[in-house]
Amino acid sequence: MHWVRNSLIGIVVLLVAGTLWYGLQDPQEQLPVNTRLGGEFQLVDQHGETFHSSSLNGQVVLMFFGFTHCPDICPATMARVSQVWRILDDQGEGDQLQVVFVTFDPERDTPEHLNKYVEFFNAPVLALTGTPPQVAATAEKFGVVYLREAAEPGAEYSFSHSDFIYLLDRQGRVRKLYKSDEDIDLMVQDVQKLL
Amino acid sequence: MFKNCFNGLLLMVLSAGALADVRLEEPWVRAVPPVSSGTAGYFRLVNDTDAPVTLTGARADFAGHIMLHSMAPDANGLRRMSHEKAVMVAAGDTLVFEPGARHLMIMGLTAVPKAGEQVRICLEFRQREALCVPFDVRLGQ
Repeated sequence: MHWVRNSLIGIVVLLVAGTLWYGLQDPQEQLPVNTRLGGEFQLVDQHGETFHSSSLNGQVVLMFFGFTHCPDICPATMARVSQVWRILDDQGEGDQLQVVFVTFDPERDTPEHLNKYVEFFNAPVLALTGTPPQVAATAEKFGVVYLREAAEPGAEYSFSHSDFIYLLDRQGRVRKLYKSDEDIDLMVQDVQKLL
Repeated sequence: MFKNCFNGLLLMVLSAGALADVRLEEPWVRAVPPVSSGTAGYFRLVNDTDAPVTLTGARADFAGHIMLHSMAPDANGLRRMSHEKAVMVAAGDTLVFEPGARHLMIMGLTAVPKAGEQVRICLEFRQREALCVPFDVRLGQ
């Protein structure tokens, strides 16, 4: 029976050591840089001004790609990431996080329309659109897939799309992807690790 | 005494019959930005009868068009929506419409519902009359 006891002790020691090692790590190292996604991009903001991704440097970013005619996932996800911003803002850290919404439907999502759309979420959301090639190039850098679906009779066209939320660090590097219904507190904790 | 027992039993049977019905639980509509052309509706459709019912559509005064939509990720992780022309709910079953999955796709809004309001939506069935109920409008995450 000694070997059973010794094995259990060994497992417990390894677990404790692993937990301590993880806890003692630099918090930022718990969010490894994703070297396959992201990069510089140029789009147009909700005021109609040219926007270059370098303008985001110095801030942590939560970014989501969607379209404003999306009735379900997009407004729900924007409500969640805006809630992350409000929690951080209550702790005096709101100015260090930028929430970004990038449309892949530039045909309908003009700067003026985007500006009115993002006002709803009670957070200073940066909304980006652009020419179809600009939008496509940006989406490709982040591995975003969107497919325009033909409109059914009586309906408007829609999109099938991937729906990750991207966490970017102050240098604009992708540090984590979340599913669209990710736990809000987890996103808050991760953002704070990068501040 | 036997007469009273019989009447009581009859009342119980009739009550049970009255409760056995098709009903909606927790119906709500997502509050969306005022410039939105559409929104989504959610509920649980409980079929407490002893026969299947088939949901065939929905209508509302504030929307030009409402569709039953299913949504699920495909093999590539893409969320694909598809229009369902009819959805059957077996006897005793519950059909769930929820965020990120099957939902009412409410399009062509003539008035964008605001959080805190209620809007009336009628669900249409193949076997029975439409079920018209108030949906709460709320912010959903």
